[in-house]
This record gives sequence, structure tokens and C-alpha cells, in this order.
Amino acid sequence: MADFDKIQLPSSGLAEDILAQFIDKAQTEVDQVRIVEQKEQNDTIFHLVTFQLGREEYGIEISSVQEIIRATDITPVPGAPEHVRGVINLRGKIIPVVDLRTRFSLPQAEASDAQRIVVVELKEKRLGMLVDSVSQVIKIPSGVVEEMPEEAISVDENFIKGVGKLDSRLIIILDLNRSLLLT
Amino acid sequence: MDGVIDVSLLIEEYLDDANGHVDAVEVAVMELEKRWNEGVMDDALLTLLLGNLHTLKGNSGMMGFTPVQQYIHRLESFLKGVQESAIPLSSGVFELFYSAVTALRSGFARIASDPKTTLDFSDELMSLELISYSQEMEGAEAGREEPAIKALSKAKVEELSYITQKSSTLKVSFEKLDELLNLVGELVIHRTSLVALEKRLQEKVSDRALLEAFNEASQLIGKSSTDLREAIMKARMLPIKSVFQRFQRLVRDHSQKSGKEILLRFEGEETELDKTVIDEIGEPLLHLIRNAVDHGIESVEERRRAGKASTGLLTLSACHESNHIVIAVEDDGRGMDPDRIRRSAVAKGLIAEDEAGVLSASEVLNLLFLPGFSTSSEVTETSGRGIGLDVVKKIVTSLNGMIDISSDPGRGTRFTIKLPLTLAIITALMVEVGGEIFAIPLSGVLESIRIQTDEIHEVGGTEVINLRDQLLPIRRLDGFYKLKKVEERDMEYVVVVGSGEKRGGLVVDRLLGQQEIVIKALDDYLGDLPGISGGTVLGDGSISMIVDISSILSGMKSVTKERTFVNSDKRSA
Repeated sequence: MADFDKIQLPSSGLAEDILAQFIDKAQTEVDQVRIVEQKEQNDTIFHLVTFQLGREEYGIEISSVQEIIRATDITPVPGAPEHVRGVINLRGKIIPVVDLRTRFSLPQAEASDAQRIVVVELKEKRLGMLVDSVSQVIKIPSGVVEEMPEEAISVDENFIKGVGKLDSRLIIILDLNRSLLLT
Repeated sequence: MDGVIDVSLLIEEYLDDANGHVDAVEVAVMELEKRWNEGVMDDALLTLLLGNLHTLKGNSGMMGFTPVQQYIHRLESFLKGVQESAIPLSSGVFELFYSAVTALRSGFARIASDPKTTLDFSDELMSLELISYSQEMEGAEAGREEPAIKALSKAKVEELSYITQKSSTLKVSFEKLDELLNLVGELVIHRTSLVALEKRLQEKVSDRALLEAFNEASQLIGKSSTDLREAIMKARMLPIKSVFQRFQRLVRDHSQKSGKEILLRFEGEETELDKTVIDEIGEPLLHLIRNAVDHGIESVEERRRAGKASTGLLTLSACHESNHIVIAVEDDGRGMDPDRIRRSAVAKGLIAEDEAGVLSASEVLNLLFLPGFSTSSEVTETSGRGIGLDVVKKIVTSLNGMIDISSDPGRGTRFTIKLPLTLAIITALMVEVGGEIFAIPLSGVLESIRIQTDEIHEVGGTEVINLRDQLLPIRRLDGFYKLKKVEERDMEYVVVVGSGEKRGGLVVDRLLGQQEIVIKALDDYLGDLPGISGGTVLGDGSISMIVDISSILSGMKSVTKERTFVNSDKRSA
């Protein structure tokens, strides 16, 4: 009934005219859906949070990032895997923090004020990632992202989803599950 | 309206509820049988029984489990016949209801694994028909002198009472309570920072009245949060009865099968303990009770020959003892023969013959907790073989508890399990090791001492100290956790800890005092953490690891210790 209200009865009062209005309306709706679909197909956009680790810039999808906090007070956990720096207290919950430098076999860095913990949620798990500094939030179209050529990826490096090329920058886009050794 | 309601979401709830009703039915039937044996017919119990069946029938119908509904309907009308005195009670009737409980339970288990499964109760229905037929015949013969009409009208009134029953309880999922407890834990922590803040204020602010008002407010918050926490802890408490009751059936069935006469008695079954403990205690108790039923209590003839009452007595008891709960399983059976255990241990290669000779009687009993020890050579359906006391001990130890055994040959055996009241909040001794703060559960701390560094000796690769003429193996926690070593000292702090029958000393850098801590499980992302059982958030928001005493002790060399400390004086903590 509700739809009927939007149809104005034509002065002619002919049934054909009323029907024509219905058809017009339906066509507009169909067209709209088509436009949205096309948009999604053409420009997939990577919405990334980027951070610095050593000399490179890395990016992870913003949808898995919960928050970014200052890197203070990481309590070491004896016996934990090597790539785990320790645990932090995030509003009463104890969450593990992965040292991405250790994970990617980079040399240890001096502690600095710029260090941050990027808290991500994956597979119902909440983990922190210790990074040198957080750079920015950017959107890059999939067109400028190149998948890593198969032969360039050794088994250890399959945590890389692709490389985004922007002007003079290269952003290494990470596969989080693999980066954090979540299987 | 949509004609079909998707009930699949409700199945879990239905099953949970249904199993509760079946448990209640079982309890009521057992009680009814007991009363009946004493010559009393308990109408109230019958009403209760009918109430449970009726609800279950209704729910099953709603969920579309028609066979369940029909079966229960038949049970119900049969029971109504009993209530209206048309059908006399007999042991056959009880047997029928026990098998009904079993059938329903296994039916629900099948629904749980596959909700689409079709249940078939035709066998049960058949036996129900048979017995109601024969009982009715009997009833008809036994006499109609009783004015049936009077009983009928009375029954009609009572029959409806269960429908109007009001419930004063509320089902809340455990996770919700757990979350509440977490939040209160946070509150307690924040309140600690309030105290720290107050100290700083005292230095800066000179307005005494203001300081006092602040102090009062902070005190009140402290009191309220403590009360709140206690109230929530209470809400998590359940009487141990619910665990004890599960064994009624096991013992009853077993005594019938084996021809032994066993009376299961409860003491202190109203004792309440935290759900975390209730959940874990069932399995160790099951092993102990199976043991008692199979090996402890003798057959009727054997008991008569020994001049004992023909009915064996199995007592399950529970009581509070300061911060612990003590649960005991005691039988008046044949007891344990130390010599036989000794021989068996030697034969199994668990200890050397000369070692066995010098063990005291109670030390010998402790051999039973060694893995792979089982005194009985027979394999029975109830207790199986091989699994048993070592498993029991492992579970109890993992709960920060202790287990003791005492036995009097010919008179019986008693197992005593001592557990902390809750597994969520513990009092801990806070210590500093390698610059980090660790929490050692106080339940496992026997004492803390200060010794000269040169009192530490190395014996066969293990560091030991001589504590009141007993050798105590020690472990340096900084080394164990691979933390940075603090420089050499003249004096060392040693925290003497115990877990089960094991004792050991943990060398720490500093003692920081006692504190109540909320245990938080660590994410399994961290993998297996030897020597760490969890984490906790301290008052200042920092995290400290909780020391897993039993895992550290089990890694220690124990050849001498096992012998020397088996009987060392009981904990004084």
C-alpha cells in the first residue's frame, strides 16, 4: 500500500498511465543498483593504515585495526615465542604484543617515543603489533598495487599481499594472518 | 504471519533445560524409592516428578520432538496412575523410571550432536505398556477397598500445584557472571590507584577537611567494591550437592550389578563452592568413587566373614576449612595393604627394592599416585585399569589443590582433597625476579626464608639447601625464566613452595608482600608457557605473571626429594 501513495494519480485516470509510472519507478531502481555494482568492480580501494619499520613503509587494512596506542610498559612473558615481545594491559584485558621487527628478522631498534602498538583484531583474537612509528591512513586504488611476483617470494616472505606504488613511495601491504603467524 | 518458527536457535537452551529436568526426575525417583523402601509414600515427590515431566513434555512438543513428547506423555499418565493409587509401586516401576532417565539422556545427547535425528522410544514404550498392564492387574487384585474417590480428588488439587509454582531463581549464563567479575576486578584495581592518588594528595594539599572527605569517599568506594565482589562470587557458588548427586546412580547401579551392598552417604552436601571448582571436581571424584566401589568395598560374604555389616558404607563429604574446601571420599572396605603395594611397586619397577623397604606406611600409600600404578589386577567395567590415582592427582594439582590418602587395612580408605575456594581470585605472594614482578599463589607457599648464599650446595647437578635437616631442592627463578641476573649477593630469599607432595625452594630477588589478584588466562597465542599459569593486572595497571608452582616443581629432580619430603610437616600457610 505504501508504494501506492507515492504514485500520483494521473489526471487522465487511465490504468495504462498508472502502470507506466510504476514501470518508470522500477527501471530507475534497477539502474541505480547497476551503477553501484560497476563502481565496486572498477576501483577496489585499499584503505590502509601505514607504519614505518626499519627503512620500509608497511600497510595493513584499516578494517582490522582496533586502535593505536603508545608503546609503554610491555611485560615480557618468559617462554613465549620469540616474535612475541610481551603482553600489555588494554583496559583490563591482557593482550600479546608481536614485535614485528623480530618477526621480519630486522635488527632490533632503540626504544623511541615514536614507537606505537597497533592493536588489531583477527579471528576473534586481539593482538598488538609493535612498530617504529605510525605514518598515516591512506586510500590507494587497486590499480597501483602490484602483487608480488611468485618467484620473488620465498616461503618466509609470503606474509606480503602486494606492493603499492605511489609516486616515490613503496608500501608493502601485509597479509595480517600470515604476518602474525595465525593459521 | 509466518507459519514456521525457526527453533534451531533454541535447541541448545532446550537441551540444557531438558537435561536439568531429567536430572531432577532422577533425583526424585531415587528419593521416592528410598522413601518407599522405608514404607512411606511421598505424594509431594510424585507431584514434583509430574511437574518436571510435564514441563519437559511441553517443551519437547514445542520443539517438535514428537517421540520424546509422546514417550513422556505415557510416563506421565503412568505416574498419574500411581498417584491415583490405581497402580501400586514396585521395584519394577523404579527400574522402569531409571531406564527412562537413561533413554531420555541418550536421546538428548543424540539431539545435541544432530538436531535432525529421529528418536525412537518404541522399546521403552513397550516395556512401559507391559509393566503398566501387569501392575494394573496387580492393583486390581490387591484390592479396591481403599476409597479411590477421596484419593483422586486430593490428587487433582495437588496435581495442579506445580503449574502455579513461582520460581525464585533465575538462570544466568556463566559468561555473564564471569564478565561481571572481571569488571569488578577492574573496579578493585582502580580503587587501588585511588589510594595511591590519595598519598600524593596528602603531600600537596594542606586542606585537612578536604583530605579527610577524600579519604572517606575512597574508603566507601573500597568497601562497596569489596562487597560487590563478594556478592558476585556468591552468585557463582553452587552447593556441591549437584556433583555428589550424580554419583547416586553410579553407586546404585553398580551395587546391583556386582551384588555388593553399598550405601552412599553425603555429608555437608550444602557446602557451596565456586562453579569453576564444581566443574573440575567431578572427574577426580568419579575415579575415587569407582575405586572405592570396585576395590575398596568387599562383597557381602567377605564383609560377613570379616564380621562387618553386610552393607558397605561410602561417604562423600565436603566442608570449608579457612580458605579451602575439603572434600573426602571414605569407604569402610578392606583398606590398602602396604606390603602388597610395596611389592607391586617394586615389581612394576617404580622403586628399587631396598628403597621400598625403608618407606613408612603413609609413604607407601603415596606410591599409589605414581603414574601407571593400579593395585587391582582385575579389569572391571567401572574402574577400568591403569587410569586412576595418578590422573586424579594430576587434576587436583592443576587446580592448586592437594590430595591425601590414609588407609586402615581391614577398616577402610579415605581420600582427602583440599582445594582453593575459587579458581578466579587468589591471594598471592608478590616477588621480584630479574626486574619483573611475579605472583606466587599463596596456597602453594609454605614459608619464605632468607639464607646465606653459601648455604646453597650443589648435589648431583641440582642445587639444594638444608632446611631443618631436610634437603630441599631449589630453583633460581631468574635462571628458570631466562631473565637478566641481578648481581651476586650474600643473602638470598627462598620461597618454599609445595604442590601435591612435592616441595621445593624458589630463589627470588625480593619479597614484595601479599596481595589478592584476579587470575586472567593468557592468550593461547603465547603458546605453552612453562612455569606460568596466567597473568594478572596490578593496581598500577602493570601486568605480572603468575608462577605455576606445580610445573616448576615437576621439572625438578626429585629422586631424593620424593622420599625425604613425602611426610614433611603439613603446610603452615
